[in-house]
Amino acid sequence: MRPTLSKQTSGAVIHRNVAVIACDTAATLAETSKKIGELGLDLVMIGDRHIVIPARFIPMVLGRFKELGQFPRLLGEPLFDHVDEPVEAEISSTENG
Amino acid sequence: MSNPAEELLKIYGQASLAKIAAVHDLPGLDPFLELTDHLAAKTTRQKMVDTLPDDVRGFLGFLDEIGRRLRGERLKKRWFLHGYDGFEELVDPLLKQGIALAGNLGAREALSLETVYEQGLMQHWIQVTPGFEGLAGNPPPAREVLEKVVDPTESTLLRRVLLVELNLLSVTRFVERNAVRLNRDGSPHRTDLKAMAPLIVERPKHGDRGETIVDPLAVDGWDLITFLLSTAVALGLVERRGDLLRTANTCNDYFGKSATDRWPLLERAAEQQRTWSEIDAMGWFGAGEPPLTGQGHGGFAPDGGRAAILTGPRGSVIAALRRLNLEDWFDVEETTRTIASLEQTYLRNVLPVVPMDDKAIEGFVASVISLLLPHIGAVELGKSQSNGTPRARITEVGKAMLGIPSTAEEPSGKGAILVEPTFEITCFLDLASLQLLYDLSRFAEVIKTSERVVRYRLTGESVQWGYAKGYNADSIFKSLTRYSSQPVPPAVKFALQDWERLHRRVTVFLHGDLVAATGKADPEVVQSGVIFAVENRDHADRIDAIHTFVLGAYSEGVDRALTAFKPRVIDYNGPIVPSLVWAEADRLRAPNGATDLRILSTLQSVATYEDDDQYRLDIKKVNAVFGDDDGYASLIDFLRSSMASGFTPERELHLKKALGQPAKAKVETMEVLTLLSAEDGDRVARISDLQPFIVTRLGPSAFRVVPGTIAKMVTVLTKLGVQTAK
Repeated sequence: MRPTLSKQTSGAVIHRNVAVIACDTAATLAETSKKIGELGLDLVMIGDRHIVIPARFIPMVLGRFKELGQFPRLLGEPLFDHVDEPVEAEISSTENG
Repeated sequence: MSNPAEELLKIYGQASLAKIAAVHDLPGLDPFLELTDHLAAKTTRQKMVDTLPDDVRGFLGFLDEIGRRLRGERLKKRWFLHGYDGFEELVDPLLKQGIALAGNLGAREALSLETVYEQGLMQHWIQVTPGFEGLAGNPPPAREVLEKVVDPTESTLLRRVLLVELNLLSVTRFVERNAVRLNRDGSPHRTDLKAMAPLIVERPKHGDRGETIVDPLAVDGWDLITFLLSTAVALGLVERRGDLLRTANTCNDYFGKSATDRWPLLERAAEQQRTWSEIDAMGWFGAGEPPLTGQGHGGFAPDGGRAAILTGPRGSVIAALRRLNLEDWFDVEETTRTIASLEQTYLRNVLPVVPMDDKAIEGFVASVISLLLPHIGAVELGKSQSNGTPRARITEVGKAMLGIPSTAEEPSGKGAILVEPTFEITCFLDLASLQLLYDLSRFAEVIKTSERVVRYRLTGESVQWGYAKGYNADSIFKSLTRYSSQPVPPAVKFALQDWERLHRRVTVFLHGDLVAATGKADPEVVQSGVIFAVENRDHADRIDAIHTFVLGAYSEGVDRALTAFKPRVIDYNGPIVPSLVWAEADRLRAPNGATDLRILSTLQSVATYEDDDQYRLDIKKVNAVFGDDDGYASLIDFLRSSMASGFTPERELHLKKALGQPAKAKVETMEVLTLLSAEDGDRVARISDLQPFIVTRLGPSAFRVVPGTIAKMVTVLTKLGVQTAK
């Protein structure tokens, strides 16, 4: 059965495994959301300066920043849920040394 | 302080005390009382020690200096490594006079001295009898055990410890930015090792390679990189997380310590590391090829590694080397034989070598001396100029590592760099300190390395990485100025400030929890509770009145802080959580803070925000997002997975009308009604209010209607938003 939020909301909701991009101004937020909006990710702007995205998309977002020559301040440990290249393929390709 | 006689009684029992008393010409009826009287005065005890032969007194001084009990076998070995022969003839008078005792002070039962001799002294603990400490004076000076080499020695490999630490720094920096992936056997991906290799400085003093290694994983490259990764793990710089090697939270601790603290740690880590194995390394060098993947070589196994069993044997070899008092060059083969014979019993039992023989033991000892210790710069390798026999000597840094008095000092780093207007930095390693190299590794990229010089470059990317790690333009400029031999060009300062402006515009919190206060909870109370759970205020961000972001490391603390609020969790690694409710036919309510952000992201693109958390669906936006052809169908799919209040067929028909795309029906005869699409036919078939009018479903979109009720049915359909033609 799918989990749903009941109409009787609790006192708090924890959105787990998300990442937040905090911009210094609303203008930077607009510019940044345009840059990463092109990636077609689920993103939500909260307030005047913040963007929230699922944390698993962070490598794509940082890759986009890098393409644009921007290296933002990073805080925290990234969520490494998956590896870009499949490990098994590496093993088979190097099995013979 | 208790009387020595009490200790002797406790250890040996009455029977042995009579014999000890007899040695002291105390032939009375109660040897314990007599010995108690006899040994009570310190002057008597001092006289007993003073009358001992010189060699016995020297041995007593040595035993006293050790300061704790040792088994006979190990005590004999330590005495030998101190440079002296003889053991039984020295310890025997001490035991018989009660000046030293053999046995365990903590034992529950007495064990007579006679039994100790029967079982053999080597098996028993030996220590100075309490009350006799400090009476023998200093032990004789340590003497060289091995014969001094006399002919000149040519150095063949001296790895400076700063280069070892530079390599560890480069490994840590690589892992920080690119997680090293592990194969099923725990060995690192070759592609990752190859990418790391150019950062590693490997300089055999008389190697025939150029500055860069052609195949970075040729056997010595494989050997060095595996060793560095393994040592980095042992130092707490890197750790295994799942199938990846990542930097540990303590990754910067080592580099911030002083040299006197770091060097012994490095030796300890090399000794304790569990992945690189001397035995494997000998095999790689013997074969001239790096090992095949999938055989566990250099593998970071979760429960240890191939070399986990070698930590003890390494320790015994290094301890023996430490006690041999080797001042200068020594013959590797002779030293190997000496240590192998001293540690033979232990190494034979522990080393995982087949077949196990003297040669295998000597091979391991030799590899610790000529592979492991040179890897950390503790031992310099050489060869005799007359006959080419391998030699080695403990470096000054090696002495500091092993706890031997040393003159090694780390340079201050002043004047070690030259900053050019081209943003390139030349670092002279002879003058450099680890602190300087550490700073440079944070904000500059290595472009070239050689034995004595490393070239770095400041780039927008490298400097912004530095900013991401807590540096700023001012601190980088100060650091460069402190270590530079020339004034730092103004252009560099301007660029640093420019890059900082760009960098400071955006901060990315990489992973964590967004907490939203919802319902009747006081948002301020929720936010305060969450912020209180976070030690470092930089690790949380108050986004607005109800949203607070906290880094992932504090998830458990956040859960605890919010227990009273019975929080709901939406996990963005899990399925979408339906969280929208209907407000009107084309209006949806997305509760602020309680809506799945993935749903909200789509909703914001297909609807217009009005107020009170309500969004009005806009068919133009729907078609723009989902495409003109099946915009409505895609919207229905989205809403079915997003509505917490469900999505009835009646709602679907109302929504179609509200969006200007009403369902259409046609009265074919007075008993047959058809819908223009099969999807709408399905919706009608599922509406309970229409069931009294329907006799049967004739096809996907056609219904036979109860005679005489079609007008009523059309009325109901009209209320649902269906346009019916007659």
